[in-house]
Amino acid sequence: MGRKSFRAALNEALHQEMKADPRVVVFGEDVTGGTGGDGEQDAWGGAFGVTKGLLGAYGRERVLDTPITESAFVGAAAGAALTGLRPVVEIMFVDFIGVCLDQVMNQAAKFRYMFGGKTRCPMVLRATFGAGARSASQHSQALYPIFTHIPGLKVVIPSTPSDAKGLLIEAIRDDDPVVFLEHKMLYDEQGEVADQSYAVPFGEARIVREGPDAAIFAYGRMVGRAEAAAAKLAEEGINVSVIDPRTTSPLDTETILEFTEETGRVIIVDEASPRCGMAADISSIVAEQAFGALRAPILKVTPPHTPVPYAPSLEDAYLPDAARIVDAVRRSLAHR
Amino acid sequence: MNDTDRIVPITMPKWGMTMTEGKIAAWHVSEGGKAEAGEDLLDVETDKIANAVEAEKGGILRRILVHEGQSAPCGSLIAVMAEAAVSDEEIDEFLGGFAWFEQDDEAGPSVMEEIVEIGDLRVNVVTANGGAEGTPLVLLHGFGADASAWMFNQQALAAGRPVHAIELPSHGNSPMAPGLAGFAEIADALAPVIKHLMPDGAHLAGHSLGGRIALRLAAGAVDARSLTLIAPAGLGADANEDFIKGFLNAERRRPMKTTLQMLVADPAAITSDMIERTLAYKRLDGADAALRAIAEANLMGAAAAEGVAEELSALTRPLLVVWGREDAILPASGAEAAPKGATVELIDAAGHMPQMEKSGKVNDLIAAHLERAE
Repeated sequence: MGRKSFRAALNEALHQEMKADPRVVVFGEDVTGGTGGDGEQDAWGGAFGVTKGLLGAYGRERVLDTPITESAFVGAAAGAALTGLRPVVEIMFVDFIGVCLDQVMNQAAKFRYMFGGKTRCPMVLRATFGAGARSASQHSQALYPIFTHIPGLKVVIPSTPSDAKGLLIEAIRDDDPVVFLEHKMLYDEQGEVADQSYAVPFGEARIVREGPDAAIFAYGRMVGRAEAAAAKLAEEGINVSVIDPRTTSPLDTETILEFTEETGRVIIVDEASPRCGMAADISSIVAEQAFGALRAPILKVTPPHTPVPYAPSLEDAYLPDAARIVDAVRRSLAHR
Repeated sequence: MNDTDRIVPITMPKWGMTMTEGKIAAWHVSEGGKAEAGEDLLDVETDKIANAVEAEKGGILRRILVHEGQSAPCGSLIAVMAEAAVSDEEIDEFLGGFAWFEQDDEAGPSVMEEIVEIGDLRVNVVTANGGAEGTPLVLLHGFGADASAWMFNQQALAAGRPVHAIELPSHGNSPMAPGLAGFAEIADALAPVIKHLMPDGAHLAGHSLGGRIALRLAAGAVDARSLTLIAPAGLGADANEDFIKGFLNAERRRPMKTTLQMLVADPAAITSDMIERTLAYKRLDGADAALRAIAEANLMGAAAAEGVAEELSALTRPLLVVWGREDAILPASGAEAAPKGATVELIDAAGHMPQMEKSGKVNDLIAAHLERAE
């Protein structure tokens, strides 16, 4: 056990699974680490440093740089998975999914169903997502609702280093295609991470904080902001629960309903666009299955329905922050 | 009479390795109010746990320095107690001389952990007050637990002596040790660790399965100055199989919560953090197989009872048996097996974890027991 960064936790998961299972291969753009000025290999450990050291440990047979053609290498991953490997393929920014969505949506997600369960497609598609890095509209989106919408995919959004490791190991061991989304602003977050291998199951929410006054559901980077809001409210004697469902598909509906019943007040914080996102999805589940428990309208804290702005002041205003979450809790509590 | 007798500093406790600060949830005694020894002074909460802090000695709560809702680092001064005869000036002088926000090793015994390696075996040992001169105390936790089972006891018992909480093989931060499952084998494996750490003998205390292991050690391989058994396996009826199977099979939060609640008299004592930590441990590669092997070898049926009578009669040093009256895992009637001459204490309103549920009471019993044995 020791404190590790989110990046180091992911790197440890990849190392441990590649060591334990020779079928695990990694490919994508610059995953061998990039070439340094003097021709040094693995100079930066990939675009975000997550694949550092894999090339040296497992060689070019298992760690492959690809051309800048997502449709080709994501399709190759789906094919490799069908024929017995366990590829972990990296898309540098999830925004690039547009050029290879067919491979994910119409191929990987459909194989098991359309072949009557006679085949499996155990691939992991890793990608960074999220705003905050001043990377403009085409490199900042939170596109998990797109994947969540597609049956046959599992969708994972870790919020802590410990979950990052355990969920990535679970993703690699899972027999179905898993979309694993890493918020680019979390890579330097530190937390306790066990040294041994462990897998965190999908479809089980993490109870970040327990309090009777309201329930906040949040994913990814928004979990930390919900925690900050909860800490601020606690100073005034308002004690809220913060729940991180960790995966959007499967979704831990049971825990969402349990905390709705316990608190009667639901606030959902979602970094994705407000239309057809997780906030809308969780709202519909709560309204349909726990309407009687609600003591106030369900409140969503989301960005506006616009592209992510590039101007730093606009990007900051675009993202939900602790102050907006605190405000939502207060509005909920104002309903008696 | 010097200040240390007349003026009693109340410091923020340290419960377990990871606690660095605590928040005052409530003061039960107001400034100027009187408290008897053993009375609850205040409630402290951390992000993991909440518990009461008792007055060690009776007196008047003269100053509250950290108020409700405020946080303070472990070991820092949060209040001062003294008799009415002590003047305000004397208290001011004491406060001036008290090292504020000292590290634990100044204000309370330090805690550290290290992996001890003897032959093939590697076990994690959490030590409080390692540099102290007194006869050490060894704590052995139960099935599926870790050193945090002693979080309310280890520091409290470390006045003048080192207290080593050994994490059983395949538990806590001790590596997985497949093949080491039966209590007798575990005891044989741990004996050299205890002898290495404490060549001049030690007091032994064990809880549940750890109690069974401690009995085995005290009856044979280890020079035990005294033995404390808290709800030990093997003395009475077989372990509750619903609990053992529930623990082995619980992979998610809800079933784990129901299972862990069987451990305590008050189900509210089981926090989300305890559930999450237990699940995190069970999810480590190899933990499931190791736990199943240990359960199979010790806790299904009467395996733990084997040899108990002989070992109890072989004891030559003082024995304390502590049991929660509401224990739903190993019924408290097991205490009847304690031999004549043993001190037997049944704790009201406590289940299988009296050392956590009624920590102040159990700490007092153990401290008095160790004193008698020395």
